[in-house]
Amino acid sequence: MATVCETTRQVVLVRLESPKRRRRRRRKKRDEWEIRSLLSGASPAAWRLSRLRKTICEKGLKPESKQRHLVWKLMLGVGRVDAAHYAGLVSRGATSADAAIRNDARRTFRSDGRARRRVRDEQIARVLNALRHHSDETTEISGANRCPVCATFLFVMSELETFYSLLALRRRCPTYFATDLHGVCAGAQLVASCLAVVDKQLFDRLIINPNGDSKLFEDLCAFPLLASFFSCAPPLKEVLALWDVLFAVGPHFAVFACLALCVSQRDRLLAARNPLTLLQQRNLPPLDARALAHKALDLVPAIPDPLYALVLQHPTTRVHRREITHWRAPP
Amino acid sequence: MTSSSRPFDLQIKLLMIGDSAVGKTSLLLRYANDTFSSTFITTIGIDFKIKTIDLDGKRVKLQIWDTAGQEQFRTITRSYFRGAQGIVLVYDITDRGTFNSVRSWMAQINDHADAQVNRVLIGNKADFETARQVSTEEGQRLADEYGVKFFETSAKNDVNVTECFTTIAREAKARIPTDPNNNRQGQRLNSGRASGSKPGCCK
Repeated sequence: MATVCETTRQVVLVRLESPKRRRRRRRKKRDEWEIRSLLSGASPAAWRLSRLRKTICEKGLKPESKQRHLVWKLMLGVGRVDAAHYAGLVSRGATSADAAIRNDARRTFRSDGRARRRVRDEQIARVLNALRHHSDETTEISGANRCPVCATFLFVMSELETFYSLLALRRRCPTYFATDLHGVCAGAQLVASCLAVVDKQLFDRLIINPNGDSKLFEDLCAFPLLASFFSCAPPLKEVLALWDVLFAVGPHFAVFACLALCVSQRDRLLAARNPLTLLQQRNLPPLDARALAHKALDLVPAIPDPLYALVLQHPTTRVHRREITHWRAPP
Repeated sequence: MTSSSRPFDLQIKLLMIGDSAVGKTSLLLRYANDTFSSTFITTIGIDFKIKTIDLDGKRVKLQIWDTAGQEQFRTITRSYFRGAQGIVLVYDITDRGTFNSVRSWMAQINDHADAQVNRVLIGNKADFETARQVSTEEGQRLADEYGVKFFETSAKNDVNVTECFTTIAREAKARIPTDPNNNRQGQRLNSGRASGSKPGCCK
C-alpha cells in the first residue's frame, strides 16, 4: 500500500512539475547520457577525450554522478591499477609518518557528516602510508595538505583508485608535492600577478603594503586554497565539481580558479574595511564551482601569453619569484 | 567579522605555535569567537584572528596568528615568528610527544623570534583527565625552567583560555612602552615591517 501511495505521489509531483523544471531535468539526464557515451562510445578515443574535457568545462558533471571516478582517472591519466601491488604496500604496515597521518585524518572533513560517514580514517591512513612505502619514504608525498586531498578522492572512488590517482596527480604537479611546497608558493604568487593584470584596483586593495609585496595575500588566501586544491573550501560537493574542471583543464587551473574567487568577490572586497579577512581559509564564502569555473575561463584570455606560460609550467618546473612579480606594474 | 571598529590604544601581535593537533585553532576560536566546534579541515599554513580587549584601562587590539603544526608548513609559519610580541606555545596533556617537542619549539623561538618576545606555555585538553599523559607538575616545572607562565586549559570547556591570552597580552604590554622599537612595531603593523608583521589586513 505504501508503495502505491509513494508511486502516486511521484506521479502527482511529475504532473505538477513546471515545463521549465521538466526541461531542466531532462537536460540533466541527457548530459549524463552524453558523458557516458563519451566514456565508452564508438568514436575515436582522442575525439571523445577532447569532447569530454569540453563538456565538463561547459556543463560539468551531475553532483552525484556515477561517472565521476572514471572521468577523474581518465583526465589524470590513470591507466592500469594494480591491486596486488597496492595490497603489498599496505601489508608493509605503518610508516614513520603514520601517527601524523592519523592525526590529520581524524580532523579531515570533521564538520561534514556525510563525508565522515563515507570516508573512514583507516582508508586515508592506508592510502597515505602506502604512498610513502611506494616512494621509499624519500620523496615526500606529504606536501599539498595530504589528508583532505586524499579524502576527496576517497569520497568518489575506491582506495585502490585513490592510491593511483594520487600518484597520477603527483606526476602532474610534482612541485605541489615537494617538501618545501615551492609549487604552491609559486602558484600563490602567480595568483597575485594575474590579479594585478586583470584587476589592478582589486589588486591594490588586497595588497596594501606600499612596496607592493603581496606575501600576506599569498599566505593567507591563495596558499591554503592551492595547497589543498580547494578542498579547504566547503561544501565538499562543490569541491568535487571544481575538481572535475581542474582535472579536465589541468592542475594549473587552480591558479585561475583562485583568481576567479577573488574577482567574483570584487564588490564585497572593495567595500570591506579589511578585505583580506574575507578570503582567509575559515572565512571563505561557500564555494560555487560552476560560477567559479566559468569566471576563470572568462578571465584566462586576459592573461598575457608569457604569464600564462608561467602558470602552465609552475606545477612541473621551479619558477622564480622574480619572473612572476615582474608582471606587476609598480604601485 | 574579526576586527572591531572601535579605536584602540595599542596593538599587540601574538603567535600560537605547537605540534599538530594540540588544539591551537580550538583555543583561538574559543577565545576570539567563543565557540568550540569541529572545523572542516586542519589549518593550512597560517591564519589569524583579531580580538580587541580592555586591559588595565587601555584598549588593546590583539592580532593573534595561528599556525599549522605540520612539518611541511614550517617554512611558511617560521617567517611569522619575527615581529611577534608574545608567543603562546601549546602542547596536549594527553599526548606526551607534544610535550617532548616543547624544547624544540623553544629553540625555534630563540632562532627565529625577536629576542625580547614574551612566551607562555599551555597544556591544552585539560578536560580529558582520563587520557592525561603529562602531569600538571611536569608542565609547571618545564615552564619554570624557561621562566615563563604556565596554564592548563580546556578549549572545550572554556577553562583558563581567557586567562592565558590576557596574561601574555599583559606581559607584552608591560614591556612595549619601555622598548620604543617594539612599540613602533606593535602599533604600525599596518605599514609593514619584517616579513611576518605584514600590513594591511588589520587596519
